[in-house]
Amino acid sequence: MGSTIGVPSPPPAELLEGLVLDNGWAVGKLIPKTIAQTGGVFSCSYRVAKPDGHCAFLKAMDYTSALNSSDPATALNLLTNAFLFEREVLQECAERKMSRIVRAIDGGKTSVSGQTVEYLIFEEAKGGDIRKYLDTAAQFSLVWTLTCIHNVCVGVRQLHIASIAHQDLKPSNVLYFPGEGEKLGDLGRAWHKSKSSPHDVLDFAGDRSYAPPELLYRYLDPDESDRRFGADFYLVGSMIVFLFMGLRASQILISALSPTHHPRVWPGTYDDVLPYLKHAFADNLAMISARFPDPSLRAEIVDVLGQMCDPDIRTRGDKAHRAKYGSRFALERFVSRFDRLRTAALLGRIRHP
Amino acid sequence: MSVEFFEKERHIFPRWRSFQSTAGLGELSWPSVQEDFDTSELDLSLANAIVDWNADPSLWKSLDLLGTATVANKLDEFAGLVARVRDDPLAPEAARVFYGGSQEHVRLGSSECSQLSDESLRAEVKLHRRKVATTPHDPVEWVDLARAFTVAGQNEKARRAILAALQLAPNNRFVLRSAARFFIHAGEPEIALALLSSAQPIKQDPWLLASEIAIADSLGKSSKHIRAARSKIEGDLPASELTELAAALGSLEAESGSHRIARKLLRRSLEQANENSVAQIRWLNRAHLGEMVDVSNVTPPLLHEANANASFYRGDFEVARDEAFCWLEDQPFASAPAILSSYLLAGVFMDWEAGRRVAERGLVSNQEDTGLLNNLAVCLMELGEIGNAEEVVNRLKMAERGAKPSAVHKATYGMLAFRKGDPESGRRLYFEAVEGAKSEGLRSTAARAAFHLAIEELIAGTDQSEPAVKRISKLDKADEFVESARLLNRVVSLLKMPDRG
Repeated sequence: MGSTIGVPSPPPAELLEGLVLDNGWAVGKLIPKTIAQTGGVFSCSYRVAKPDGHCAFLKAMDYTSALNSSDPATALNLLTNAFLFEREVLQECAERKMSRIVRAIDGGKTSVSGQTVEYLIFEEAKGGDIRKYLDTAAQFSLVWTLTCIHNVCVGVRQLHIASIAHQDLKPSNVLYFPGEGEKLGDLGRAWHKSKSSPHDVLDFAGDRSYAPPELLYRYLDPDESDRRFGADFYLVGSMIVFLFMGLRASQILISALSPTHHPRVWPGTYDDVLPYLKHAFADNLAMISARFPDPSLRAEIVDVLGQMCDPDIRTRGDKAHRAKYGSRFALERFVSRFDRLRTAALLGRIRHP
Repeated sequence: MSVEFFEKERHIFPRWRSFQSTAGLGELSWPSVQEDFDTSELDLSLANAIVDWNADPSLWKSLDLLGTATVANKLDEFAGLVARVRDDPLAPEAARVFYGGSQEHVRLGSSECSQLSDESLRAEVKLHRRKVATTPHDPVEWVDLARAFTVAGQNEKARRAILAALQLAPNNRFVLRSAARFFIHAGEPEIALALLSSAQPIKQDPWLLASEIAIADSLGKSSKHIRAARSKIEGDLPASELTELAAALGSLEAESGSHRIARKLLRRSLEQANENSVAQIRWLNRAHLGEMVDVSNVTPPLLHEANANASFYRGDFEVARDEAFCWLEDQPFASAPAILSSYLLAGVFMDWEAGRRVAERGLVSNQEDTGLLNNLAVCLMELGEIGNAEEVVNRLKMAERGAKPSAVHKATYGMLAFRKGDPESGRRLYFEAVEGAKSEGLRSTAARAAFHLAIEELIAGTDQSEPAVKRISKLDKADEFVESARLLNRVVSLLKMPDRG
């Protein structure tokens, strides 16, 4: 019997459960998927396992969503290119041995209901994302927090060295691997300086609610590299705010603004609102400063966030080190800084209640 | 005592409040340039965050969802989850504090609450200096520091802070209007005018246009942006954004005698008026329009200047005094509210000590203000501090810079002569004050001088007391002034003094 009239069949990408793929992976349960993603790219995810018990995570591209769109040819082209782009980027990450980027360990295509479904298989983060880790942690650990920040900085730095901007750094994309620490996942929104992707037309391909202020207020820095790497730089700072405070940088910035200056309300330009953002940011830093009783940690965190979360893209980053590292958004200094801090925390030299 | 200031002229100069208060009043809400914008991607982010949370509604996913909701401007829809996070002992303390009531935006800044003591002045300056040192790229903080310096009477430091703010944000409305107000305060209205006239957003921003037109008018010049202002008034901006501009244009029409057009513009201004517009229209009613524009139903926040003046002219002195105090707290660097406050305290309520304190406080921000020096000198004389009063009178004479003394100042010099035991000189000076006021058509000022002469004659016990009292009994209705009954009471009580037999 065919499909019930009026109830469309699920797309083939959602029908992989129970299949054993050519490369031996048995497909488990479909992971509940989100509604859609910016740019019209659709995918769904599964847990997969090998007969030897080796588990992984499968991401299948949903081409039928593209076929059902108003412009199927364009949508299909976009989806195909997005898939190819992600695969190439992951390959480059693997070749460059990026230790803090989740590895694609396999990939291929399979046929379901007469249609081809392409997929990528990633190493599985048994600890889930960092939110899950934080939910199960008995209490706040300064050592873990600083180590996690260090790992995030290393991951983003590894990408930046390869001229890749992650663009979608958020807690759900920082995965915890017990025994290994944190790695960055989901490069589906990434930008590569020398590879084109369908997302390049978007000012920001990642989750808009994490976007840095200039993008929330629709300002595009004329230098695309600065725009992309500057956004990543901000997102690292936002991650630090999340790990220490359970909040995010744009959230506390917006909350210190007059309601009429909220990005959804303000009809003016970024430059018009920028003085108010700077003022709110100054209030933010004072508030954050008050959260750190240990004066040495306070000074470090406030200085780091002052550089990373500056709402002005033109002053964000570390200009003093531009000559040395080639970019004011270079993370080298932050990697060594958080390495030093986590060591100090391990030795009990700095504390945070 | 001096009340001459608020009988002269008024222009709708920009108010200068702290950033927090200005933003809270909604005067920074509509930018000069509007853009089409679509923020629906934030709704998509929120929808995805909800799906993610529904699959596992844990604490840290809740925190993540609330972050998205805040950025999507939909936090109000998550009150239950906010309460759960706030009450969850495992949530980071910063998040619990954040969701525990940090959302209150519209409130008066600390600078509006009590800036009248030396201690709070120093604390205010220190606070903003520290903030500027931490975040030197914050132009708003530089403006707030400049305001604190201005209130503390440190105009050169204030100027440097204003220039720093202008360098950081040369096109920002808050910075430009605050800077303009500073230069007016510092006695450099030409700089204020040049700053606004050449500001890049002037033609688009009705708030800048209003200030520019008012400053040009105060200098006897015609704004070169009148045409842009008129077309702005005809545009489709919200009424709240046009209130000061309509009042500024209405003022020009009223002053030039085009009362019909003036009334039309002023009624437009009242559609969603702020207190500055209402104060301006009340003054125009008194000075030019004969109370033709009804402002009785318009009560915007901080309506202290208009209320103080209206209460004073109504003879409701208690209300006038309280409102004048509030006006002074709102604009603590300005001389006008300090002059009115000190006059009411001393000249009407005869609380010389309080009048002195307010005049001295006003002089911190306005060191050469003749109205405040005059009022302080009178208070000191009434308190018996003749030596100190003489020093203040000398400052007053210096501040006149060789100009012909006004009738009010002449009367004060006369009072000093009386108190120093030289009634003949004092009488002569009072006569000159009376004649001078009459020649300028200021009959109420002449009448006040006549009252004060009678008071001085009675206190000194001279043989000219009776003629002086007879002189005030001959004043007619046209010479009346609102506080005349108070002065008459004083004369009567002096007449009843036992040593007068």
